[in-house]
Amino acid sequence: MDTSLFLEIECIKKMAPGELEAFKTILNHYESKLSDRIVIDGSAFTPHDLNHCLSIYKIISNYIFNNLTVYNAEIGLTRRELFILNLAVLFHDISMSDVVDVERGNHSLKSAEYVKEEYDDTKSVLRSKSTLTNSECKALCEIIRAHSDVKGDPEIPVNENGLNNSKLRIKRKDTVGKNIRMLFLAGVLRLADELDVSNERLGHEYIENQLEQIEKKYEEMLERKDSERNTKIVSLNESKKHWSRLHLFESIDLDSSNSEILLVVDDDYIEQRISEGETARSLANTISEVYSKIKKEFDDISQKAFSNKDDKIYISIVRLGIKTEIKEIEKEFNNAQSRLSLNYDEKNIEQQEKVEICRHSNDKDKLEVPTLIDLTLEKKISDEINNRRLLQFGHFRLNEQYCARDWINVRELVETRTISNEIVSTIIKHINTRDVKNVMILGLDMVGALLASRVGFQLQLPVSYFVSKENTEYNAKQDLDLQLLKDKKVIIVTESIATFNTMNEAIKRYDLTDKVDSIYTVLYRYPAALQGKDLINEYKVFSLNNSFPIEVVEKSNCIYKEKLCYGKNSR
Amino acid sequence: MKTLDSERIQIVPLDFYSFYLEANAKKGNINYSRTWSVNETTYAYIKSLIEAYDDSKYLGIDMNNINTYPMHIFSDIKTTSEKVFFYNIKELTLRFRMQEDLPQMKWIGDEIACFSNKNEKEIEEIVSNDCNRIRHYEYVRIANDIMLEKSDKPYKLVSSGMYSNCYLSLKKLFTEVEDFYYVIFSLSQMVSKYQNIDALVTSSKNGAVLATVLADLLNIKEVHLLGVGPKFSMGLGDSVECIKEGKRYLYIFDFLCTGTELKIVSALVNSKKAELKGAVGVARYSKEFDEVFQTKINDIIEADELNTPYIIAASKKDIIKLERDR
Repeated sequence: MDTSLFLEIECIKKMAPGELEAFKTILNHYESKLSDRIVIDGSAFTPHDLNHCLSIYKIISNYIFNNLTVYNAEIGLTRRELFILNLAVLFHDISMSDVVDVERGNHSLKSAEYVKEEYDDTKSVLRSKSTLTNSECKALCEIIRAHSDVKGDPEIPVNENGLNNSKLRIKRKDTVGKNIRMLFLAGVLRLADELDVSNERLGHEYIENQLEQIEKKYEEMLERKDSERNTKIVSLNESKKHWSRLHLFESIDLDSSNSEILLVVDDDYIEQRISEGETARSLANTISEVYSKIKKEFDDISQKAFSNKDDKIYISIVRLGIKTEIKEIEKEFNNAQSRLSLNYDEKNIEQQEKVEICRHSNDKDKLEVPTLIDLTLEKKISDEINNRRLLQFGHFRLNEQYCARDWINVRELVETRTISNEIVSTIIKHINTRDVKNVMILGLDMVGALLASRVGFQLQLPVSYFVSKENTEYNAKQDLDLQLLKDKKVIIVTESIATFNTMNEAIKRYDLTDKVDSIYTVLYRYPAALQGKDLINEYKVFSLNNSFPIEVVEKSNCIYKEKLCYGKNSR
Repeated sequence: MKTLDSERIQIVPLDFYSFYLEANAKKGNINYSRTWSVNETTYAYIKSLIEAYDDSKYLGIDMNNINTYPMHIFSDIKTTSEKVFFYNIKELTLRFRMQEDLPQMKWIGDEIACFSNKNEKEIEEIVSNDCNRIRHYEYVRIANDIMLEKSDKPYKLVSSGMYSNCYLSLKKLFTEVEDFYYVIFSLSQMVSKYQNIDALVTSSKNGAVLATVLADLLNIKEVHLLGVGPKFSMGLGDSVECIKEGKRYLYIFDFLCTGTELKIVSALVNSKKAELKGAVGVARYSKEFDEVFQTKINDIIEADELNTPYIIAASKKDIIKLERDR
């Protein structure tokens, strides 16, 4: 491989001259150990070769780093931090070669051990050329070790695995006495590694051929039923799954604001698979699965490694999304995410399955999770809520039956032009695509009325509002009346739905039951504690955000006595 | 689409047509502009209107706020009607373009063009009398349409705590799409005259609906101070936080009765060292309260223009008595 390509990449180019020279020598020496290797009869289907390192350097430079701050002489990374990061990228997967017999699950540990051994060998190129101090080498090893969780090793507890490793938080000094921010550097490497999912990684034709051979061996292995091979089969299966998913994405990209990184779906490949008989739903589910895994990792890394305000300035991306031109895939992907977004972690996914069982076991219980209509907007709303701390904790009144322990101030969102514009235009677009006819737009309560009036005005549809029981006394009597137009159905817009009680009560009180075409809500807040309860939704509900479950208690169980149950949101 | 009618004339407010038809074509993402260009859809609409005109009345095409149209599209207007004319042709480029495209037109001064000079005097008189009033009559017509019928019991006005004999229901207006558009278009014109406004501020639900639509069209921030009326005056906590020091606000109202809420909002804004630059709304009870305000109040109509004279009083009995004495 032409190693001069590496020197064109920003994070390498920006190294100080001494470190750059050392890096070139190390790269040229270890290149042969990294290039074109695939573990035959081993576990690594996915090429972890020099191309992969090249991709990681590119991802760091072009997508993760904010180049204005990270190389700044005064506020940027130190010269040694940049050097250590680049060495970590180079060596992070070195154990996944035929140099060392290694399982996928512990490759990070083995790669760190490899670097340590090289460093301990005074004749090695790493030791003689890198000028790394002992402390710097330890930092390098910790970063490499943290780039991937070690699996199946009982000696490494969860709270010491990957980015949780307490050693990443030790203050290690570099050769001139400056701190090495190991946790941050490990986060950068880990994120870049996670984002290298594009099919560029599938490599050259001969790699593909070798992969085919490996697959054959894998099939043979399965047939043999050899107990010794069982562990390897599990590992191989995982690796094969990971490898096959690389076909799904052709590249990564940034959105126009440079704050969202997009996994670009290989639409040609998807269309080919559809023409071969696979359904858009199953492909979208696979994309959703991969996306969710990466998203979970992305959130975890951001929270653990990039939350320090001094380090945050080095990172330009705050969100992850997908990009596809195939509308059906986009729709099915959004549906798949809408099902998942209520339950990000696996524990909650199990819970969701239980809820599904509950729903089917009781015909009266008609709760359907609202359909999420725009995944990108869901993330923007979530970011807005999180960044502006709109999620408040305390004691809040939901309605006559329930209290909540948290509350989101949606009015703040609606009064913020940028995000409210997106909320309104997304609802408008969605209504337009549904081609509904003969409807009027109704807002429930104040925020609903504000949104409904904008939506209705833009669509040139009649607008009105109605009022929930809780808010009745705060409206003029004459404004409580609702004059419906003859033969028109209604599209209801509201700020938030959790138990459906308020909505159902208002619909019933205004005699709208047979008039409702659909309901749009900014937030659907899943009340996990009420699963299996009599939560009824008989309407077509579309949501813009499903990612903030709500902690709800029945009034009878509220710690505040019923008569004194005064919520922070009470007036 | 509405034309504005009087006994002698129908007028086509072309700026409003452009706004309405653009919104109709876009179905989302519309903005207000102080000047408009006649696009092909709008032109097709007025062309059909002109060519189908039956001469029973005059037809005036109001070119106010129109600054241009696509080159030569007017040239295929085929009419010789003596009663069709264009007026308010204020932009020089527009005039030149029309003179080139419609050489058969006769010009009355710089701003009126008609297809015949037979009725020149009458057209000039109609423009100076009917045309300049007819837009306003439309507001009065709309206000009368949305006025809630008198009930046996006087209406309680929650903001001021007073009573009235009738009630201007903006909620009713929101269901009439064209009328709502017409009112919003006019309010947009008023609001856009204020320079450097940081946010629109409201204190009532119907005012908030108007403000949110205006804010959307004009890309201005909006702040809704709910609960500043006497009934809810305890809940000012978050309202105070909404007003930011040094910012300039414009108050949007639906109906201004005694101006209680405006006074509270004004005090609130002043207390935060911010500035209330003015107030814009649909209607107000009377100008007699204006003296107490330092801010200029702009509205579309006055209550005394309505078919039913608006009466307010401090008690129900007084309303009944005043009605009887009227």
